[in-house]
Amino acid sequence: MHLHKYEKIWLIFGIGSLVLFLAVLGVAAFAFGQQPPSHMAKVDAQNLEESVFSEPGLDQINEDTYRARIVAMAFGYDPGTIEVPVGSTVIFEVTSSDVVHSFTIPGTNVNMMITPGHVNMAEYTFDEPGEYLVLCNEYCGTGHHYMQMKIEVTP
Amino acid sequence: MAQTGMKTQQNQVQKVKEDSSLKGTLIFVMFIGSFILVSWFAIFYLFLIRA
Repeated sequence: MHLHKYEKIWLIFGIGSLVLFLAVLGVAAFAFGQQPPSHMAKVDAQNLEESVFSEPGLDQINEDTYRARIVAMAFGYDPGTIEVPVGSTVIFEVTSSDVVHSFTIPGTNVNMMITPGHVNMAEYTFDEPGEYLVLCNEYCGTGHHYMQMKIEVTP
Repeated sequence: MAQTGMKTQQNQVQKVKEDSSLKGTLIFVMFIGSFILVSWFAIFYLFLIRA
């Protein structure tokens, strides 16, 4: 098959870029364990009272690791505030009791969709003290723009 | 007579092919490709510093 010299150049360039992108993603996924927020964990959205989400809040797992179980609903989060010391790693496990919401901490990689019936997870280490805002960025109804919670990171 | 006419036509087709240049295509493909590469790495860098 005859290929023009320039065609060879851009085919190599295109295929090379694809291989590069896939290699970076593959290393991130398999060597560093990065994965999407959905871990295929499920919960009965109509019966959260009888699930691990019956008492949402913060649990300490070890010295500087916490698990935050949070229920997103129209138009807020339960609990509305959590407080952790600086340097803590928080594993967020979030579900929704009604419609699709999101759980977004602006300026961080914590940004995930919250779907009823599923438990989505994200992890973040709070190295800077201060007040962090959590927002919903999936339009969920008339009060969507009021939907927020706070994370207080104490020194 | 008819054969001669076809030959002339083939010569013309050959000539048009030789004249076509892929230089502009190459420049544009490389421009778009570089833009995609730079954007991808810029976004990946943002992801890394926010982790």
